[in-house]
Amino acid sequence: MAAAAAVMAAALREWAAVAARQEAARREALASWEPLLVSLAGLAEQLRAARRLAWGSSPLGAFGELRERLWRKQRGAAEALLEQLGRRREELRALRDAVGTGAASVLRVYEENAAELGLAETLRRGARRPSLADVLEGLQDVERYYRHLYLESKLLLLSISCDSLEDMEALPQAWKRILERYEEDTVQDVLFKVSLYLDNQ
Amino acid sequence: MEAVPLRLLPPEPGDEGTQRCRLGPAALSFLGAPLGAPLRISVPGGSCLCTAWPRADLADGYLQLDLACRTAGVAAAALRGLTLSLGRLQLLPRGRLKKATVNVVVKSSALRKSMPRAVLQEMIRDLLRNVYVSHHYVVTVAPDLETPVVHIEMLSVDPLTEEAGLITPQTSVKIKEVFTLERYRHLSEDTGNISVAGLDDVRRTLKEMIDLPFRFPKTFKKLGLSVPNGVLLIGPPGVGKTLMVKAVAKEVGAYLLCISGPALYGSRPGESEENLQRVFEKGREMSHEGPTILFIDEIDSLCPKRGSSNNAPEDRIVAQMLTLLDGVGSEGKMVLMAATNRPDALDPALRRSGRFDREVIIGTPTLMQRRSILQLLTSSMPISADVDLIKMSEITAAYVGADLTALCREAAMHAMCHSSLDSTEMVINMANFQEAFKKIQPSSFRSVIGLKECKPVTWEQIGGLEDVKLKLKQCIEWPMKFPQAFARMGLSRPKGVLLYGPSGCAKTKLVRAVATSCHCSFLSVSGADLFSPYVGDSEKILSQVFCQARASTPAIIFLDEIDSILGSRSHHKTGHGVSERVLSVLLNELDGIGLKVTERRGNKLQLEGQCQDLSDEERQLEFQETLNKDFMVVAATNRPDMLDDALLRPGRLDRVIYIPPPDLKGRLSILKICTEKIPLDSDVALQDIAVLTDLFSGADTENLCKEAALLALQENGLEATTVKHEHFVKSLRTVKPSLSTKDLEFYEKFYNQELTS
Repeated sequence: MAAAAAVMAAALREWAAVAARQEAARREALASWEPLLVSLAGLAEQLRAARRLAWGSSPLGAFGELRERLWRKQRGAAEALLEQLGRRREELRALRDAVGTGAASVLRVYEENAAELGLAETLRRGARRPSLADVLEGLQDVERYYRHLYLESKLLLLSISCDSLEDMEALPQAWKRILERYEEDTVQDVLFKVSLYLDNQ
Repeated sequence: MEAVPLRLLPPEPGDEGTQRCRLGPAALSFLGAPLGAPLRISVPGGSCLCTAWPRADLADGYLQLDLACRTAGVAAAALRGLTLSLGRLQLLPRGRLKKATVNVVVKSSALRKSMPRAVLQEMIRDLLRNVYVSHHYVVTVAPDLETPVVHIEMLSVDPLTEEAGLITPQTSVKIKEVFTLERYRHLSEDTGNISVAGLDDVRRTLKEMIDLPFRFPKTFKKLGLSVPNGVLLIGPPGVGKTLMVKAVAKEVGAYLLCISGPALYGSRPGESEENLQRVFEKGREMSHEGPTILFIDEIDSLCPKRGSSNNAPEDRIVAQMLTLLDGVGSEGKMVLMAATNRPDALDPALRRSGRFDREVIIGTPTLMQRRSILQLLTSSMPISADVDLIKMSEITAAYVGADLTALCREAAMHAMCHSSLDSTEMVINMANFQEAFKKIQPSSFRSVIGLKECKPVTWEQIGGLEDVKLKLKQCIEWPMKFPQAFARMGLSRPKGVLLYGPSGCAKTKLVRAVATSCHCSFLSVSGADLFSPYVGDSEKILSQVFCQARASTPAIIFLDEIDSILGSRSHHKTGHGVSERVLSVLLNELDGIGLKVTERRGNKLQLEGQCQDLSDEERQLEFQETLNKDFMVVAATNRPDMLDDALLRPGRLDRVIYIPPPDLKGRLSILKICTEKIPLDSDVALQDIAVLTDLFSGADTENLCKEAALLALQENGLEATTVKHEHFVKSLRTVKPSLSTKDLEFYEKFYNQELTS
């Protein structure tokens, strides 16, 4: 049983180290979305204004293809921004996959050693030490957190299209709403739990 | 340790969508489940798949479930406060799935259209990652996640196993079909069929209209046909039109969208048209996924005749409806059905082909139909053996389906009230039905003109007139009792009976006896009902009465003092009075050219495969029904010479029966009946009195008895107890017969004229 516990502890230590790095990466990635979305919203406003303008009667009406050129330029800018956002999204996806494999490997280790460890040991809690069950639960929660975060951000990007300019202008607010739900310190709590578990073996 | 019951608690808030179930350590060790192992838990309604985790407080005896993955029949509300035994939890081995095929349910049809398949597939793979699923389970997406997907139904998994399989990033997931939430809810509803009795051919027609174009669209395209897709159901209220549409929709699995007039009307101008357009839009959307029926109930309130009431908003709604109806058949497979009981009030533009092509008339149920309805209704009720359905279908002459349902319900309530001692063994017997029959009047009869209540009179309460009674019985009762004999001899029921004779000779009483003895609908019309100051109103009222009688056959219409209602065309040369017009209506109704189309009843067609051998009693019922298809008119008058000749010919009022004043034997029996209630002294000899009362009519004789009793009371103060013979003799002096020999001669002459002519 002690051997099994040691194996578990080693696996968890590895995971904790990786998870801390991933947490930092996540914060960076999320922070980088905001300016991109803000510029996209500004672009949407420009597009709307350009559409509203009565080109024929203004002095700019003399320049025939000005409208089309402006439109093409704005579209180009929007597409560049979307491409960048796509790259950020890929970052989140990579994070999700990494977290997923990490959690899966720890759980696999647990599966192999479950019989040896025994239920009582898994459920044993101390004054300053959470049980192994709590820790494993936390791992699953972290994995789910990353998965859902990726899913929602992907959906947000999918919903952007040049046809609905109002939605594009409202993108920063939408992103803020999403972030509100993912601001909870789930990952931090789990990392604390794991460190408490490992320290008070 | 084994069967420790686990009390079911609501899941933890943080557990939503995680597929976790929380157990106590004792339960976990009993099951031998490591953390995170899949468990199958059987609950009422199905089962669900969860992963085993310990409770946060490590308490035993409780269970918390998350219903993320479950079979289709499990509802969260049904699980409240349950207690499960540990045996219901089963540990499953972990496995990984290589492939899975799913059905996806999305929130709305707009999302369904806008999302490309590839994107949806990716999303489903992401949503299902690390979830344990099994064949035929439904995964519900956590509500806090903002996705368009609501449910994911697992159709098949590879490797095929009854156990749980984990979906990993390596599993390939394929989508078979995408539904909208509404259509999914509709499909998973209780699919019990509603059964409707007695309307099989209507059901067949409707089913054909919905089913065929949906099942064989290519055939229809090849034939270049556009399918008829509008049906108008016409019939009196309560006959089963709405029920029929619902039954057909359930049977075919179509989505039923109901419109009712009041729900559409809005207060702002143009709001009702908008509502109408919205409903049609919704119907068209739903029809892309499967057969849809748009049912408009009481369409005559929504689309009355345009220009009839100068009501511009209504006209606009009718116009909008017509435009929308024209656009229905172009795309989508939506079928339009409407129900009404006033087809003449509908705008005629609605009833042309292309809009409501087919019109199905459902009339009041005939005898056979009533019997099958009663059979259906009582199949689920505990009835005793003495309940004779055939007899019941005979007495319920004018009842529609809704009335019969009310009748059965009333009988059940009666049985329940009276047998409160033994509530488990409750049986409904014939007496309950008789009681209920008194309470429930047929709905078509509630607004009928000429509905009169008459006190029941038995044949024995009429003295004498034995041959008249026999003749009446022959006319009215025998066709109902011996229909086979009548059919064999080629006889049919007489159309009309005229009773004539001096006044006071029990003509009306005879008719009351007829009404009591046979179970026909009885209508009685007098001058007060008919005549009205508006021109043409009396004719309309009379023809309405006949219409109602035809809807509730077998029926008897009694026209008392017919000579005052009808005129005679030969006698008064005045020509165009009301009486002549009413006469013409009566002549037409009695022997006219045919019925109105909307008054059709019963089903004419019988398909080949449906001809079964009828049992004896069924055949008798059929005979009875055919013989009693028409109503009968009974007329009574004192002045038969005032009647028009055309009325008295056979084919209209065929049987002309003379009610003579009573002879000696008749008077004796009348006296016996009248003095039943009067305490007679021993010296009263009714025979003598009968001899003395020559030329007395029945009313005179009754008057005589009353006078004698009054005299007795007068003489002895109010202490008298018996009536003596001398009282009778004394009253004979004051009471004189109302008939004279001259009158009698007149009637005799008429009688002989009838015999010889």
